Amino acid sequence: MAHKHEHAVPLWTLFLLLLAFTAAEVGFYEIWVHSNQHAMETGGVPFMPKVAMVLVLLFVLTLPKALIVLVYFMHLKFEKLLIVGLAVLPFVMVGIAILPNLSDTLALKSRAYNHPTVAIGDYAHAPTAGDGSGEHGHSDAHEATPAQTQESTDSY
Amino acid sequence: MFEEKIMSHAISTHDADGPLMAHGSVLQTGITNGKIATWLFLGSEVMFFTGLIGAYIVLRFGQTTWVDPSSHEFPLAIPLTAANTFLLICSSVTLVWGLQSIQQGKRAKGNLGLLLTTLFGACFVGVQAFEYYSLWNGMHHPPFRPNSDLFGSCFYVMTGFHGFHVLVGVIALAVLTVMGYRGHFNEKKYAPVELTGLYWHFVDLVWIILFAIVYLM
Repeated sequence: MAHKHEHAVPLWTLFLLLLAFTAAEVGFYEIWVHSNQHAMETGGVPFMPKVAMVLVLLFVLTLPKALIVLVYFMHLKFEKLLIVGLAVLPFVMVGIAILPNLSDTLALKSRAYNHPTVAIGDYAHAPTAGDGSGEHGHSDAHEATPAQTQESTDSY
Repeated sequence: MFEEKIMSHAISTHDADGPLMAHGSVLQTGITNGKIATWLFLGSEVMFFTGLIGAYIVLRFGQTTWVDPSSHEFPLAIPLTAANTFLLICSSVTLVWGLQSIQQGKRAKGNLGLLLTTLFGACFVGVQAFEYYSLWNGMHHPPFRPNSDLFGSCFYVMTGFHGFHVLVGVIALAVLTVMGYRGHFNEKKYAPVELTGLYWHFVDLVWIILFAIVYLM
């Protein structure tokens, strides 16, 4: 942050920019959601695929907000190179750490972690889809039958 | 001898009464110990939060089924959280305004900036507590808890740790506000406000990313 007054940031401009980006973010998302719901009702497609919506949301609307905070509010623009390096290095390190792990997503898809846990040998008491015994509302629709859970366990 | 050389170099390159000395001792780099320590701490925080976000991304995209944010069953209230995001952005702005005012010798405005930041932060924590309460008790949807499904676990872990960081920041800001009104800060002595501000902006930065990833995807 500012050591000298000439490093003062254009505060209200940045505030309005952050506000505009947040409003655009939520507005864009809501428009896509309505488009998607309409598409599901009519059997059509939303105005933009979900993956494109996610990329726009992340890189066009969220990233600039994060950069404004990092560069101006945390004053990285006016800091020495050492501080900039200290700030950027962790992002590089976590990027290196996360990217290889993304390959695990393919392996995860073949499993069924998003189902209620069923202890081995306890399949007789496992909830079945549609029996209404699930306690977690919206996840009930995705609950596995004992046979499916057995199959999922066997895939290990 | 070496240390004397370093200090003489630092003092010769920076005004002894300037802001650098106001932060405590000065390193050979011309950067204060406090600032180096704060950025190192923030670096560890970046890795901590990115670890959580990375795990979420791997789990999220590795699932065949996930609660659809665009469905009516999605339990999170996006307008409420968008308003909360607005509060946190406002708090960052008032903190920068407060710090700039202190640096310009306008102590009354500086203290007001600190007070507003504390209040905005406290409001954020309050709204998040209300959100947790309504989700837990199923006020608008079936109860949504950490053991509901993978999304529940990820949601409570990520927003919970972030909320804890905000709470710590609010406490620190409240202490700074009291110190400010007692006259502890002026145009030459403002390091605690600056370093706490770095932490607070980082918390804001994390929320900007969490809001997009957890609520909108």
